[in-house]
Amino acid sequence: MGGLLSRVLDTLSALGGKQEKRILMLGLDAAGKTTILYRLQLGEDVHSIPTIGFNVETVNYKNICFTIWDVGGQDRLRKLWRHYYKDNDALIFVIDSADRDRFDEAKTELLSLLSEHQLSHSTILVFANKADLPTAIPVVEIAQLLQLDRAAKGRHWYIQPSCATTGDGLVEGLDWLSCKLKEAGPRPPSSA
Amino acid sequence: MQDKEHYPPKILQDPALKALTQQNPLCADCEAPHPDWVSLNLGVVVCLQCSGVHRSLGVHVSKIRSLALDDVDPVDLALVSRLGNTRVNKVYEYQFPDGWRKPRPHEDRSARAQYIKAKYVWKGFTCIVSDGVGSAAGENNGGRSEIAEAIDLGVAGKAKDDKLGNSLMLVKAVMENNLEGALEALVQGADVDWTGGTENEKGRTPLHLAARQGDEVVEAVAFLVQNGANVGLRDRDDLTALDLATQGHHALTVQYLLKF
Repeated sequence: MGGLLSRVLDTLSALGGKQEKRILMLGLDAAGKTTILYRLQLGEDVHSIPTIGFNVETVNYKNICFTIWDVGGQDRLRKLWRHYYKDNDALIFVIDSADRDRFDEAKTELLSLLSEHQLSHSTILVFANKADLPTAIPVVEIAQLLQLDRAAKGRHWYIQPSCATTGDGLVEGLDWLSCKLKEAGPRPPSSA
Repeated sequence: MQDKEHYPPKILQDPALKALTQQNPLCADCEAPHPDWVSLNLGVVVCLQCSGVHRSLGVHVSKIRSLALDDVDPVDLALVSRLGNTRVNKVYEYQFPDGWRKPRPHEDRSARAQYIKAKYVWKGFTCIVSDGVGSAAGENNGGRSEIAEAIDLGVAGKAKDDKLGNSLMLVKAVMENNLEGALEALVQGADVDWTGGTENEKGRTPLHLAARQGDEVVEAVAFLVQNGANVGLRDRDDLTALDLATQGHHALTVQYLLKF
């Protein structure tokens, strides 16, 4: 879309009507991305199967229309993530808090996303998902381990514990995201 | 030839992956043909639909990877290959209480989920109790598989059905890289980090012992780690399993343990 036209449209929608925001949701396989997406959209636990490819849905919340892209997280699918980087307002990164063995792998993927130029304007929301499981790493510890104050310096980020199957924590996360995105206004036109 | 239609080139072109799919032509849970998802800790190959249920139970129950979409560590792959659907089901589907049967490939999610939960979480189809009252099924040895029987526990028979006996069985099985015996021992209630035993004055866990043993039991090392063994535990010499593997120059074991 032409840069000027889209800016005018964004400004108009920011003044009156609904804002549209594009969200990219990533994370390792089985972190809970699809369950989060459909919990937000339908308000129920959809019993997902592994996402081969992606799901995309719109979720309306507080006068913002979120278009959320949920992309599969298996090793080979991660190599395709970059095709979804462009023109996002926010990145939701989902971690399985109970998968201690793969926490470092998740952290590495997140840090690598933070260094992506095309995501440099994206607000960062981390869902520390499956926080209800007895073996889950406490969110305080997750925050210490991720060190986002350093890795995401100068940008808006937040870590929200969640349980996608019950919906706990999801609205809180979306709430934070909508506040930050309203403050931010329309995203800068993509330079590509 | 027919497999060409059902498996992606990544699987068909990799001898280990291809062999694994040939050994396990049907889903371990619903018997759908051409499954290509594996559970690293349970050692089974399952279909996409059943993998969804496994994932929903959490990684403490099942660690699911895709043969087609993930790059599974060769040692983990060897572990699944050494177990596999037939052997694992001998333990996890030892018997079906009245009213229970395997779900069919096209059965809906709820029936499938109930079955998978009963099978792996409640261990309801194993030879241990399914009625929820103490350990009774071991009577007359009717409840134990031949493998368990074949393993010489080296202790008095009275210890056989309790935690001590099962933990000893785990150690023995692990040292022989007998994953089926190790699985049986864990299902029967062995302590994965057990440091007991009369000759174990160094306070070593089964993982310590397997890591020290050598690369010929690396699949047993992987089995223990995937089933919750604590990699960070130290023996009385203050050494971890990784330390012992390093001292023994067991390159494959070292390489594997470094991932955790």
